[in-house]
Amino acid sequence: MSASTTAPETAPVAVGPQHLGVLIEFADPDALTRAAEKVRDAGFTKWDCHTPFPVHGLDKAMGIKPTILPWIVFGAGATGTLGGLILQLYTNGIELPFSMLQSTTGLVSEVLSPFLPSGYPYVVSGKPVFSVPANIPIAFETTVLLSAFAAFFGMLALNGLPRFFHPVFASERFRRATNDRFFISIEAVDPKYDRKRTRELADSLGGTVDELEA
Amino acid sequence: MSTSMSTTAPPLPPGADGTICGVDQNTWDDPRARAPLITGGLGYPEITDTVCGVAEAPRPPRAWYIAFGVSATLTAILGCMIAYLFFTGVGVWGNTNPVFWAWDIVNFVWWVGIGHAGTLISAILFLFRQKWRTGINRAAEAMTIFAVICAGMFPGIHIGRVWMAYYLFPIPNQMDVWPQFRSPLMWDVFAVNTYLTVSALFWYMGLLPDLATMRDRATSRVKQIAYGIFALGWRGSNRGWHRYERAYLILAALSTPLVLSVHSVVSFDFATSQLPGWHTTIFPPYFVAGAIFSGFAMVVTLLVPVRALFGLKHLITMRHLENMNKIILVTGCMVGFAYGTEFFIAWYSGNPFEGFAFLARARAHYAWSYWTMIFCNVVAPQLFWFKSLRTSIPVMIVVAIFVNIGMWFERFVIIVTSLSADFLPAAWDYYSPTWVDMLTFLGSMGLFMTLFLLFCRYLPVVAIAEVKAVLPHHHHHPHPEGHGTPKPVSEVTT
Amino acid sequence: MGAPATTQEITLGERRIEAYAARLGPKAFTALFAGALLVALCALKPAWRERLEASYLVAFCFFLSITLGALFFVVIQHLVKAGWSVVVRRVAEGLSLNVGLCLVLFLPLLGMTGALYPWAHWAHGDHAPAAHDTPPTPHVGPGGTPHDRQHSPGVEAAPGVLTQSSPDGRAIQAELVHPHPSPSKHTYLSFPFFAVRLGLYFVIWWLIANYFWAKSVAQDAVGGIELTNRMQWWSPAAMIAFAITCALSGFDLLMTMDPGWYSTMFGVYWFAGCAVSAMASLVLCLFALQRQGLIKEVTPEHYHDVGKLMFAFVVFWAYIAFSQFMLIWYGNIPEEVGWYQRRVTGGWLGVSVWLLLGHFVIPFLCMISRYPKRRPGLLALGAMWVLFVHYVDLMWLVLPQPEDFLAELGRGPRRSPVPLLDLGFFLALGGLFVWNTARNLKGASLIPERDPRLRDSLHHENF
Repeated sequence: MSASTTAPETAPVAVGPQHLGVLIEFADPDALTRAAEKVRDAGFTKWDCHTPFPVHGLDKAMGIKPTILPWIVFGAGATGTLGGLILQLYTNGIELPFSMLQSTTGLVSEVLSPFLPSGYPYVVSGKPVFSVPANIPIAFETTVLLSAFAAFFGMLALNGLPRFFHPVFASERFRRATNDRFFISIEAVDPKYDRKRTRELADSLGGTVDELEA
Repeated sequence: MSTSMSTTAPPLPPGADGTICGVDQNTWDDPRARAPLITGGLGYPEITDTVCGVAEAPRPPRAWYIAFGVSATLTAILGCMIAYLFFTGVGVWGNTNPVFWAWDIVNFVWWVGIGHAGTLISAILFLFRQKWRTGINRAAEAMTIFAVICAGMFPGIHIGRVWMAYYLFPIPNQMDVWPQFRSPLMWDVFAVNTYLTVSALFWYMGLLPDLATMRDRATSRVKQIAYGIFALGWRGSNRGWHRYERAYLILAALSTPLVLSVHSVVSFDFATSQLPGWHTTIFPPYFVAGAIFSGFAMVVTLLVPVRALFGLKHLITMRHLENMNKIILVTGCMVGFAYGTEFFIAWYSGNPFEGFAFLARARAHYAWSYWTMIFCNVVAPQLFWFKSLRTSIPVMIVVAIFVNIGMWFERFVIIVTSLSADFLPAAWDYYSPTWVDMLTFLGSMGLFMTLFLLFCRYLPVVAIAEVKAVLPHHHHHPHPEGHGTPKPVSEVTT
Repeated sequence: MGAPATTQEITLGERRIEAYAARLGPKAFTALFAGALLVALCALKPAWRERLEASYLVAFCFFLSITLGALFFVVIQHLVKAGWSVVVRRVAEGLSLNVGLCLVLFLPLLGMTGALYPWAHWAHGDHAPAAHDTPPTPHVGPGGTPHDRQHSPGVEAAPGVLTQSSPDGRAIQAELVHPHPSPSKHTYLSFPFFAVRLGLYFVIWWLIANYFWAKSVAQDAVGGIELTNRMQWWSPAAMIAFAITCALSGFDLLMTMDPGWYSTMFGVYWFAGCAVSAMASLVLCLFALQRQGLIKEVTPEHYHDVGKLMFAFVVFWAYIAFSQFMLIWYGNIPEEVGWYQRRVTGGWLGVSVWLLLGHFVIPFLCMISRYPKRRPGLLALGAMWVLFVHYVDLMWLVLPQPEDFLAELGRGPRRSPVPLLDLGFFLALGGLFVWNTARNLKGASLIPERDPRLRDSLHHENF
């Protein structure tokens, strides 16, 4: 979004533009990587690099720890396997007491039965009601489906997306971050942030410095 | 580092050592270097301009309008055919016959098969570090989704009583009876829907950074907001890229078995039965090979005009096309190998019904379809053994179309010949399609093309961020020349 | 990537196997003699002696599968112009050169066809022991009614009769009924044709293995790109020849043990075993060589990639095994189910379930993370496990047949397998195999030193 739309809604009427941080622009990924090492060593936490594509080696230069995403996906996958098997076992394989509940008359069954559908065992093609070989394909698909949801939405959640307003969008230059320019942003909310000294550090990095204001 | 080689070594081809490679000049093979994947010396901004220019142009080329007109008409015909089918019944098809699965299921399997190329490119080639995938994956994934949509339509309209379609899903009916999860048809529903969902997620995830590019380049407020909403506020953050790349790898690792499972499950529809010609254990890998085969043929068929029409020849290069043609050749050989194995086992088994089923395919009433299949799938791709032929646009277009036809006939041969003459001759009959069958199939192509044309018009046809990531970086070369600071195209001489 | 590799200036570490081979030789021969002794001791017991042939076939197939898998690996690296694999390719080439040894080991099998393959009795009309000269197809009849032609009924493990329990606990006996073999089987399953076919496969494999070995080693001396181009030029033809012969060898060696049974997938199943065992063997070879301070150029990046392939083929095996089983189980037609019936009844059911766990679930869960794949020690442990389960897989493929077959021949009732005998053959053939692999690699560098893609491989990094 352009700068004009990123006014922080929560801020009360501020006197003058609010300082949000600094943005340093580089022309190539190597300069960015070298600069990122310096910012990392300065001990900032609320800072980031912005690149049009993933730059190899930048994770190390920024000191990013491996994400926990694989574990989330693994958990979701295991849930999918079990869920798929239980779904099939329950709906095709067993009749739980819920059906008895449905057979009773009255309010309980009227209200609950849509939410407690019973299984309904019946034999088809001479296979046992719960026959593992025939249940594997669906268990596999549910595993993949849940894992894929976890991978995608987990990635978005860990990245804090969607987020339509962010200090970096305040800069008109930043539009090239998705094209051909490489940026470092250091946010003013960082505990180590000091407007003057951070600006000095930014100036020493060899890029074009821009103050983010809104 | 020195570049001296032994005295007999020939000079390096263009593009190998930082020189610029012209259009279609990157099909060389030299073990000392990898051919460039992007020609014309394009740098980061030129890549962005080239790809975004397609969607940003005020109006598309005239050919786009013509194609869109034709495919929209066909889509309308599809709508009419479906309406006619719903109001009249499945009797309007030729399936009132022992061949109760015919064109609709042939079309279903054909479309699903075509839908395998995209995820293969985005997942399996990713795991194999085939960087050339970046030029074609976006369009192939889009094509995949549209093909799967066309495929999914057929079982849905095939059931006859369309208001019962909910019974395809795990929902109990009014008697609390659930769908039968032990049925391969149910596996199909799960497999195809999972595949569609995961492919769409994968595709959308790949689109995120490029939608952000479109947002940041947008000149009108409407476009800025539209692309902005779908870009989800992507800002190219490296903490974001870190998780994004991991998620991408995970999705690739998940999609790889998924893509194998989908066509395997489709093959289970046939192979779990007891019908000769259907019940054979090699079906799962053989169907998967055939699916990749037809999918790549469709990608070639679509991308050859796309790269010419939208000026993408530097990004979707001849090398990309050649690599796809090689995959067509490999999978064509695999399919041929499977045909051979089936015949061999039908003979070896000594089972008279098996033997009959396969001999009947080659020699009886549907022999024409069988030999069409053999010619298109096994013979035609053999042209690709020759480099001059697999790098020739007319040849590859013709072969790719042959493969598309051949793979449709493969499903026709499997489904129709086996059903039309199974065990007792009392249950035999000759199947012919009706005009509704044919127009429905044509209409599904219209739907596919309409969706694909809309995609070309409004979304980045090439994965911008991914292509940039495979431009030669300079981590091992501290002093970059040529690429680190991108050159304007005007400076490039080829 | 872009930069041309100038292999001359790359400094490589220690890469000759001679010293290690000299130390390895005595150990290998100790294994050989220990194994032979164990086999000889087992053979003293008559009931075990009858299992000699089947156990030998298991061990033979095990080492053949490693060799074929290595051959596949070598050829496909050239086919796809792989860069990462250059530093590990020579070791794979050394493994694939064991085709010669396998041919030698195959020769005794020619003398064992009579004990392994029912069809070996067809040609000379030997009707002596029973109606064994035709493919057995289980025909389930009620347990108590003896309607047998020549077998003594009633005995639980009577020859030619399978016993299993029905769902309600009643014993059901499956009598082996023998329809006459079809003419096609009479043609295909005859001893001369079998010997000629297998001989042809070995010739093809020997040619492929030696071609790629010779050209690769020649390149160490002359460098350049010419030899790489030539190997690449031949790789598609080699791959096609390999695909056909590999599938057919699976049919011939293993599937025809039950001449009544057929499965189009079987060649792929055999191939999956070849590939997975070769990847595991490659890991072990690299690990063993590195423990001797050799080929320091192989980094965790290469282990990671070989480990990924091993993992992938474990999953591929599971996919193929499941598809084959599920389709036959689902179709449930008499011509096909007999093969699985043997494996889901009696003691073999346990092995079948164990294979599902051991050959898929356990390695899948243990190796899905990149952590073990990047640690050579852990990966070598995984590789040993994979080789072990592959051995069990081959036992599962081979041993149930001769049990029935021996029973038919009147050579005693069905028995459980004899692990000691298998251990003996494993040690004996394994000793030979290790010795021969080291011998193959002698006289050449352990790394294709002047391969034009060596630099790619040395700088290889996974993402």
